[in-house]
Amino acid sequence: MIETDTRAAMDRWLADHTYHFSRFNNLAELVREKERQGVRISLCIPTLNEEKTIGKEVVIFRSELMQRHRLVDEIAVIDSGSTDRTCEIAAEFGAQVHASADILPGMGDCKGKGENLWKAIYQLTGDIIVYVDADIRNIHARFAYGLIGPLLLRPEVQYVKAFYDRPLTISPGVRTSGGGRVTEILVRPLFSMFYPELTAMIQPLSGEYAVRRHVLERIPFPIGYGVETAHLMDVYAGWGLDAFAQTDLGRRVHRNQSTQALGRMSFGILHTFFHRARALGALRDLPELGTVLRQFQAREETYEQVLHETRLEERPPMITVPAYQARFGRRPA
Amino acid sequence: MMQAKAAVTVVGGCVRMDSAWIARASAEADALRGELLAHLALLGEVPAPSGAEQDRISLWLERLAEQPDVQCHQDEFGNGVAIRPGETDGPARVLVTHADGVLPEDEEPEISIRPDSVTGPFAGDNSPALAALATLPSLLDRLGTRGRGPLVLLAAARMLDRYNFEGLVRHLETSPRPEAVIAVETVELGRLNYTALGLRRCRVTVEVPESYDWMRFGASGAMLPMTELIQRIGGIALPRTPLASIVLGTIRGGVSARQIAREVRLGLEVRSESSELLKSVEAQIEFLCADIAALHGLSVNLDVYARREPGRLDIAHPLVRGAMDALDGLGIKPMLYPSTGMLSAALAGGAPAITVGLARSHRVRGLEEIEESLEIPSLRLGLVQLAWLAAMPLDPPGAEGHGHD
Repeated sequence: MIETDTRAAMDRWLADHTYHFSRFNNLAELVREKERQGVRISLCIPTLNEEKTIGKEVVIFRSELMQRHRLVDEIAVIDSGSTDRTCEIAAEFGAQVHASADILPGMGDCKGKGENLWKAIYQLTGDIIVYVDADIRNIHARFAYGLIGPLLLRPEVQYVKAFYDRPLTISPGVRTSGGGRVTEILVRPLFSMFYPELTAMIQPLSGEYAVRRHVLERIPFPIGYGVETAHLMDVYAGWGLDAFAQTDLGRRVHRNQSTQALGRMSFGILHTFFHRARALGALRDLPELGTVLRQFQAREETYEQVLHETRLEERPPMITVPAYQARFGRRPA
Repeated sequence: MMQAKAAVTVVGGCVRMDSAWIARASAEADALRGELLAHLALLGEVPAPSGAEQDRISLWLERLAEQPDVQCHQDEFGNGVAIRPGETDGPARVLVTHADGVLPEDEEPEISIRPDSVTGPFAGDNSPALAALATLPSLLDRLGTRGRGPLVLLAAARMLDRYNFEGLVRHLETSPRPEAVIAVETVELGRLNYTALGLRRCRVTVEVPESYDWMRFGASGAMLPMTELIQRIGGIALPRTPLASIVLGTIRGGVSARQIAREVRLGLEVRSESSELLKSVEAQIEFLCADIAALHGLSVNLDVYARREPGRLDIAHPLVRGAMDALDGLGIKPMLYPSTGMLSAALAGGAPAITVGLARSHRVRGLEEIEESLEIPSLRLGLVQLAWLAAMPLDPPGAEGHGHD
């Protein structure tokens, strides 16, 4: 009975909260709504050595969403210390470029994507912040406007997540399905066990999402791999499933990772999941969890251990940071 | 708004752009760099093999339709047509490029953009030229420039290889005769063609018939007879003048190294500035095919699937002089040579026509793919060149010199 009720509720949620990007193709309409609401929108691209793709991303977003249609007010790259030409190329094409280490320097500099996403809240000025990964090879303006649309048209929606068909590009030629391995093997089973409603998110780990500032500033940010997982758990706990929406953005072609790398990602996500679940009261009496992932590689006739220590640092909700309170005139409730 | 004309001076009866106009146009083209590159990336990542260009053309029209006073439509031949009004309703000036490319529909081309270059397979498969045409109205608006007659921007469909410039030919056949046709190719900046070579584009197929006696003559299959045919075609005597050449372009055949090839195909093109010579060489190749077939007991089929006759515009024609002056003003050395591309179809339509190039490029060539890198600063100069060509006066009247053999 419970499962039937959950299924019915999720069917309703899916029907009501799932979009296709084409619904928002009328950018003039979105701009009018944005202006009517007096909303500022910022686009953040977190980077680390993405010189091959960052130029096209900035060109297309600036041209389509700032010049042809004034949907986005600022585009910023938040960089983790790229050693290639990422920052130079992004600046050349008109993006703001900020080194993560230079934002809130008094709070130190932790290396990780979550750090960049968190610091963007302080650096950018939008009421809505759109996050887009930097390694997308088939970038298009829909990767932003498809996520902004639900926020402009539905005031109750707080957090919009992307989903898409993700061809793997490991081998020559492209297969039409098979992306989202960590989602299907790890996160979806975990959510099914502990947060069944969150399984309605088709791609919970997607790196593209748009969020209202007042939500972002109130949730913690793990530094490592689990930041997207933590977001879903914290927003669900604080605002409920109806705060979410998701948009089909079509195809996303990007650099795919090896199984070993996905193993390290999964380890980080597991840590984040268990710690957030305990903090949110879904789990009690958690034993001390190991922080070292042991993988193996073969060299001639011997097997070698390769040890990876996972990052456990977590940034507090930005609203608790005095410098942020002073800059934006905002305080915790 | 008061519209300033392109700043010109008249020197020796010819109009030339002056340095102030060049500086202003270059600055405005720089300001449009983001728009140009966005058009290029988006158009270049839509595969558009010949006969299947509609997605790319629709996208091109969609991007132009947002510009004020540009009327867009797709004609009955699949061409994308964008019209910007001129100062009068006089004869139009047509800027055309081909919307189709060489990449197959199932290939996903990827364009990479760096500060000074754009890289992609086959130079974005002509998307830079399409992007330049899509950006041109914005540049002309910023310059306050309008030609005497309407400006027609044409993204022509079904142009390459077997289609033999069908989109352009049909457009010219069914439209009022334009004042001039300017064919735009992505490479190379400095290119200026006003002489079109005629051509015969052929495919020769050597095939072992089902009834072939494999015990005869060592069972060589189709490879050796094709090799002999190629050698004999290569031996066809060609004069120094008129200009003529035979290009042996592609060869395909066989299934695997351990099986005798039953079929081999040769792609070749005969080019000449003489119609008589083209007919003569075609006849000789036909004879050679018949001879090889008889000698070896094979089937040798010659398919001449594209024919174009030579044509030319006089070097003194104002269109040619204006284009040369544009390159001179931009500090670019013109490369003058006969073309086998769109120019032939354009001249055959009866209007004065030239071909120009847009950007400098570098190629990394492999057997499977050509990765091409374009210089962005040169693309900006190419765009300024187009702005001049779109609006420059073609007076003085009486400047003839258009010839078609």
